[in-house]
Amino acid sequence: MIRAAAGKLSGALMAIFGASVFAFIFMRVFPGNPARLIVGPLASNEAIVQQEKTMGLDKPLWVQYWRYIKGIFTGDWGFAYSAGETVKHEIVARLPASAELGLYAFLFAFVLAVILALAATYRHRPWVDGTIRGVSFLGLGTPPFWFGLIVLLLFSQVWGIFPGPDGRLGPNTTPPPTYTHFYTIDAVAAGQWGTAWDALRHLMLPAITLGLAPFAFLVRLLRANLLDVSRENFIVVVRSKGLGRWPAFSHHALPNAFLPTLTASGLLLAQLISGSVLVEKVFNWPGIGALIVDSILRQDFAVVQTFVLLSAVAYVAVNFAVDVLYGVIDPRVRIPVAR
Amino acid sequence: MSDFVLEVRDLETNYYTNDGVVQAVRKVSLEIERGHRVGVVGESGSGKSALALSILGLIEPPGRVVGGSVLLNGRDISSFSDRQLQQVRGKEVSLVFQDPMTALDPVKTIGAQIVEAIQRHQRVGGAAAGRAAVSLLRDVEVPHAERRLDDYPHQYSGGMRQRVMIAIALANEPDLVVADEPTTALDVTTQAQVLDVLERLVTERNTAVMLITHNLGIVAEFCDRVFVMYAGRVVERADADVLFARPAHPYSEALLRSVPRPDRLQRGPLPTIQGFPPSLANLPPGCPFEPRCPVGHGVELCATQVPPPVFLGAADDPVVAECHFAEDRWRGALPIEAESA
Repeated sequence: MIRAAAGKLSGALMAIFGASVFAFIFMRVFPGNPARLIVGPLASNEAIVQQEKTMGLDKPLWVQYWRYIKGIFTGDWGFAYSAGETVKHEIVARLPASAELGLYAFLFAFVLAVILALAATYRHRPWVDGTIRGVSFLGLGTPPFWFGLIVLLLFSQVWGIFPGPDGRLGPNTTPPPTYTHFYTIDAVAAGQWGTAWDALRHLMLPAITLGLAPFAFLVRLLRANLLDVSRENFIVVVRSKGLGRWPAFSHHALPNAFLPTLTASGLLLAQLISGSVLVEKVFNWPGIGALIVDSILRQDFAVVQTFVLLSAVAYVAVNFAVDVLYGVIDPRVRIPVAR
Repeated sequence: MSDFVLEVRDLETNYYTNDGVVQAVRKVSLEIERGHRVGVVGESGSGKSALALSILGLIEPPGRVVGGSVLLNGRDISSFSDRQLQQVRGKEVSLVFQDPMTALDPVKTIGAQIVEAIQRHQRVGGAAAGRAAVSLLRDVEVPHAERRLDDYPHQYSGGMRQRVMIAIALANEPDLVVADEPTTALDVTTQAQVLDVLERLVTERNTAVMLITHNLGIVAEFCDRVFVMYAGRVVERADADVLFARPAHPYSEALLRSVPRPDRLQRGPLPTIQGFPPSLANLPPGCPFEPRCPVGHGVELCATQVPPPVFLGAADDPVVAECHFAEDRWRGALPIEAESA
């Protein structure tokens, strides 16, 4: 047990280390000189050399890598030249917005997927199943930015049910005090119900837009697995004990069918909370997506390195949680056969 | 008058597939006296498992029971709603399923799965149900029963899992256990042990058993009466010793001949039944066995007319066979081999 945990932990550390090296090397082997980009096309060679010196680019690669790793731990994540701020400031300002949106998108995708997959498979009603498969098919095929524009047009412009693309809060709402940087949670914690409601309303459309494709994917996956498991012999046996259709389904079919969905959900969650470019653009969301794209284009090392590392940590953490949950649900993972 | 625990009358079950209607059970009638053991034998695809599921009302779409009645303890349960059936399943009739490897939920403990069966029909607390589960596991001779209660199915061997299945089936002392190929997936030694356990327990409890199998050796050992199924029909019914001594239907005889028996080993290949059972979606107009029948193949009557049931034997020991030649065979046929004692 301890051995397995140690193995998992070292694997996680290796993955994070690998990601840090990869991000570091990748940004540096691309052609182009970040110092040149910062000082501008008309700057003299001396100015460029000077700029390289302040950025530490004249040092050998391993020294640069060491400074980067040391910075991670000391909290000095470097300077984001494209934004004119420290990386830490930029990420603290933008990542929670992306993460909050991603979390709600995930919740939407996951909850709706589970409900619809159950509806599609429970009792084998062909028309319900067909409709849900159709919805999932459309969800997978619809480009999110297009879907975002359409829902904005309909729900904001035409019907006015949801606010337009004005970011996380309406223009007249002041942000809640920051504890977690998640506006909905912070506002509730501070008892500012109006602010919480405003934040939630602003989250709705982008979260649905962002969660559409993950939702469609999860529905397909869980539906297929539920169908497979509900044809298993043990479901017939459970029914032969006198259990009703729903207890057999919810107590026996669902836990068995849920395992692949759990794995997929972990990956999707990690992906969603690390931001998205197009959906954030459409909804004018002050997230991290645009910053990252900008930073890659301008070879703004510090931002990309830090972001890749944080993403790697998020992926590893989520997958670790998935592994633990997997063991809780499936004893075959937890307990070896030999006895 | 006999006391029947189960009376099945003209039961019909169809599967509505894309390739047409598969008639898995075609007007099957059978009856089981209280405490008796009945064998249902036939090849794969003869409708045996569909019959078992139809009796328990567990046919799922695309299948459907389309006709007939199932009288359990005198009540017609084929007209019951699923909710009413839930009160019957596990309590009055229970199922031992084929392939113990897939018949238990892999993510629940053995104990939980037995307790689930107990608490479904008995108002007992968790601790009492746990104790009952331990005693059931002891009954089916699972070693270290208390310790193994919290194990999961993957920690049990095939034979042990099948014992657990028997424990679950007997948890509420039902009047009838439907055992669908209970030992097919096990090796021969384990088969014998599991059958011994089943036999002892049903004898102790006076439980009737409907044993579905393709293994005639098990039938000879275990059953009082035999129903031979072919292409969704019961083509012959007889007491076990009568059937083994004097099969009236050519299919029964062919089945018996294809069992290897040490007392009549001959050189040459083991006799087999040529060909395959007919597709249940596309049955021939006459006797379904006609294309493979050593007696009736090519006979116009057999190819065009479905044989009616022919009643043979003594009134208290009836034999019914669905064969145009059954009467001739019964009168003329000699026992193919005296049953070795």
